[in-house]
Amino acid sequence: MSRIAAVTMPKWGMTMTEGRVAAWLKAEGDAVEPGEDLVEIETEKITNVVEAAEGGTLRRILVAPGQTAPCGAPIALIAGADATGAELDAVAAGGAVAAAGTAAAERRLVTGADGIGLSVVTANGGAAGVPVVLIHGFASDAAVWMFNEDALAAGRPVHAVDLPSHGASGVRAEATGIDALAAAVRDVAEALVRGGPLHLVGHSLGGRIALRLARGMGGRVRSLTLIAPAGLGSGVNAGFVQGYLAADRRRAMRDALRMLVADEASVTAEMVENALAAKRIDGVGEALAAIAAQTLSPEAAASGLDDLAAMACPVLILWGAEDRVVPPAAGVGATRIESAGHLPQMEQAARVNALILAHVGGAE
Amino acid sequence: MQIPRDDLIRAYRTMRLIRTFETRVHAEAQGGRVPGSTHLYAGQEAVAVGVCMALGDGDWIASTHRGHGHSIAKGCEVGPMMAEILGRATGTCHGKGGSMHIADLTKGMLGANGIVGGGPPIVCGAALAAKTLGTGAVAVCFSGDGAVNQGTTAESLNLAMVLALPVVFVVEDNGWGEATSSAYATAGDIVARARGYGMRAEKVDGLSLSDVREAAKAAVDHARAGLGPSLLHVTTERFHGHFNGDPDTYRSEAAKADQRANRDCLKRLRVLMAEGGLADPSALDAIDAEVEAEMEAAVLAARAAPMPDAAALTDDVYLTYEDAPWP
Amino acid sequence: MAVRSFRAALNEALHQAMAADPRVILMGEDVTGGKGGDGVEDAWGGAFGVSKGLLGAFGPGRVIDTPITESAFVGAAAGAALTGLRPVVEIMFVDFLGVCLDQLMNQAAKFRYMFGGRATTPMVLRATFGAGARSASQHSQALYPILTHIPGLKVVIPSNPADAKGLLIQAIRDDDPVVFLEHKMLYDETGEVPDRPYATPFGEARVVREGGDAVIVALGRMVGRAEAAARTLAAEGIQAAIVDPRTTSPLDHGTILEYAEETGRVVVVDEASPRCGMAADIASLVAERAFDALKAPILKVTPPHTPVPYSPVLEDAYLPDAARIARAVRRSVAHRAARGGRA
Repeated sequence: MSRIAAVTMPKWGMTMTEGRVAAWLKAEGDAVEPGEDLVEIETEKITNVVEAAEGGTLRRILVAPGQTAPCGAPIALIAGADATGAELDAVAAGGAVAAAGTAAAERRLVTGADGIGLSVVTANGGAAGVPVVLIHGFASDAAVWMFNEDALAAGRPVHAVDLPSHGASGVRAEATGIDALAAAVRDVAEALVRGGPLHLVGHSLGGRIALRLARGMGGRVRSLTLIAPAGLGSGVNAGFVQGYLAADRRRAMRDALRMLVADEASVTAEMVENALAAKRIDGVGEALAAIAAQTLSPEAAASGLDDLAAMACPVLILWGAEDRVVPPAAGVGATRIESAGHLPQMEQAARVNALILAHVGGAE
Repeated sequence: MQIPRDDLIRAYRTMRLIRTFETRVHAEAQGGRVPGSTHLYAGQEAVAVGVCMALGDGDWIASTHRGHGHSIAKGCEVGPMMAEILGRATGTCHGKGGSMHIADLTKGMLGANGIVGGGPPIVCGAALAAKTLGTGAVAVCFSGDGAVNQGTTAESLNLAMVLALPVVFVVEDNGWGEATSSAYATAGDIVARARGYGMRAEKVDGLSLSDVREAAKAAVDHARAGLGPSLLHVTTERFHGHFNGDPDTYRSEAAKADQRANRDCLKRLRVLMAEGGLADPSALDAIDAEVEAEMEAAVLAARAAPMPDAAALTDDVYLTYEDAPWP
Repeated sequence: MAVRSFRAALNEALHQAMAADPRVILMGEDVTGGKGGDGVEDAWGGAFGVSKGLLGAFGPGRVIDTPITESAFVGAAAGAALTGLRPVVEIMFVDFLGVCLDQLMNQAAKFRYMFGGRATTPMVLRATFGAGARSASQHSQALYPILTHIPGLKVVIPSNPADAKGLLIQAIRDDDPVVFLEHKMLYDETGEVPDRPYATPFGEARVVREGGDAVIVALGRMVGRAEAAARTLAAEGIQAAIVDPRTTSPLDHGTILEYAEETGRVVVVDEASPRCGMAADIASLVAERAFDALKAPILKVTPPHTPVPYSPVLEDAYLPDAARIARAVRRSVAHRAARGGRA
């Protein structure tokens, strides 16, 4: 009996509960190679293509274009030509494979002394493992981890924080320097882990913040993963920062966002629209300009090396080989991720997930 | 007379200024120097001046197509007004509005209006703003006998009562709505109409400056005290036709001659001031001459002023308009 | 961020705008409802419930029920805007434009220009529009082509809750007179809406969908129908982009032309009556400025030139639907010029 593999509705981001099939890019009966584009999936946040994980023949399409299915539900079956109709029926009727953390993620606001709430979304909150806290970078939000959360939440809680003045967090006009930002994230982290241990993963400015935060929390931080972190000496592309801050129209924002990735075509209209919408929230523009001035300036370029040298826990540094926004820093032992720009966790999610899981697992 | 002498002298001067202004506009129009039409206020001066004597700088007025008199009485400058009528860049509206749209919000003048009945709703709005912002201002709507039959007037009387707005509706009845008499076109009684809305209203002799002022003051005080709107039905006379091209044949020559001789509010005021010992004719003549000179200068300046630049055509449609408009 | 209905997003925009600026007032028929009765206050909160709760939050001085006298209260909004307030005035159905058109067209739209730039009229006129509610001819029109035609007015047509909130906040902050049109069939549609105040600029289209084979320009309720058509077409291998202008005045001609040039095939969907409508206006823009890039004639998907009918069978046939939009795109894609021409 040949193996029948179910293609399932993916889970991108903690808040995704279902997706809609936009278009099948292969037809029933087509041969499929691993890595080939298979189906276009549309969600509230993003439209993206799912690649075939396995090779074989696309024997059955279970969800037609326009229809939705919950995350983890089978949407197609790939098998050898010898699989019988009855065998395919059996697998199709077998029901959804529950993806880790498919149960609705919990969004919370942790309110500081100033009354401003910081948003954090938690997946698999009840799991027993040491939690992972994800810290995004400048002009981003927790959605940057949408292709990573599911994989990282195997057996442990995963918490994705929105920095002050980003995402769903409130605007904190005074929280614009590294110390203030790290303190804000610390408040949230403490509310989540309550004195216990944690792993930290930070991207870009979030990496710089994670370093400062880890230094302050000492032995409780079991491992640190830095993805294209700021502050390790290579500086930040001022053209990107200025372009992003100045962009108030679609084309200008698209041009700025294209600098973030190796494959410019992956910057969708939706990403551009979301980036513009985030900036238009009252107070955000001013706060971001202040954060950039204090944390992404040439003066701050090497400010994280001291914290890095003081790290006691294992540190993994990942960098996209084609990163034009924060170029790979020399001499820090970074692992290069090929075919990735400044967002390797999105551009090469599978590879990055594997590396982080290995690092986190190895530290325990 | 209860009006202080100085106020009376000032009132006389303003009335004379309006009369002379209109005479000069008439002459400019006859001389082919006014691009469009004009609607002259000569003969009605006591109404504009009498009402505006009861108003302060913070109060508002809106006017009709026959708006030069109200504008001057409220404090708009005659130089820019004349330039506006001649379509010059130095006009009150930079040549963009013309006679029927002269406005100066800095003087509390919400604009002359080319639409009969256009003013009453706008004045209700100014009164609503004054009430909401607590400025204590009152808004006066000058309408004609033609506008009083417009739906907007009926709606505005109702709205002013329902929202208790600080408005004074001054219905300036000069007997003629264009070429049709108000006696023909208006059913019933205008004061009775207002009272039908529960509104305070009275009929006023518009040829008497003091009658107008007294009635206006009572209405303005009433509004300012938060007691709501009033309507004044003010009868008056216009000397010219409806507009500068109107031969005014719907009135007999005899009637018009009689009007000029016996129902001229300026002449009546002169007589009253002389009888009351408030000013002798020579003092008033001196004012007349001064006004003549002021108007002469205004007209010469207006004639010499530049036309607007072509670029002004697309200015001031909006305050902001992202992206160059197409076409 | 939360999932909100179009109606709730508008309500939130009004709340936040009124909380931020005491000069903002709301006026119109039944914006609270219950005035003068002995029953409950705020009985309606607007004919479609958009203004529920504002009376309680801001009081009767700022949330004003008017008599059924559009001329007077639309004109009053204009006069109040001239003299220091920032009124949001509502006419219940855009079809009632006829009874107050002078105050909007000849007064509010023209004050700034006629008065030589020496006046500003920061008012918003909100109105519901559109067919689909079986409300027949006098309560179902779109009429935004008439409004777009009037220099001095800005005209805004949101298609989803997030845009509804951001565009209404922008409209209230804008110092020019803005007509803000709410499709009556969209009030219950939901979508993600940021919690905090934000302003979405005018004159910027939203690219709803990318696609290289054709571009569908769609407004208001037609955006959702264009999306449905695009999904159907994607399954057939045709990738259609969708551009939602969001505002017809100012119009983001840059984005429309960009996609016209990229795809060469343009379909415009507009539920307003076809003569002198937005479809014609946009088609004219593309024909003039992107002519050489066109591979097919510009196609318009609009209702027929009739009043809106009552019976559901007729009203459904009147409105453009996803099937008609998809058919137009297929026609465009299939077009080959009669003599040679570009493939």
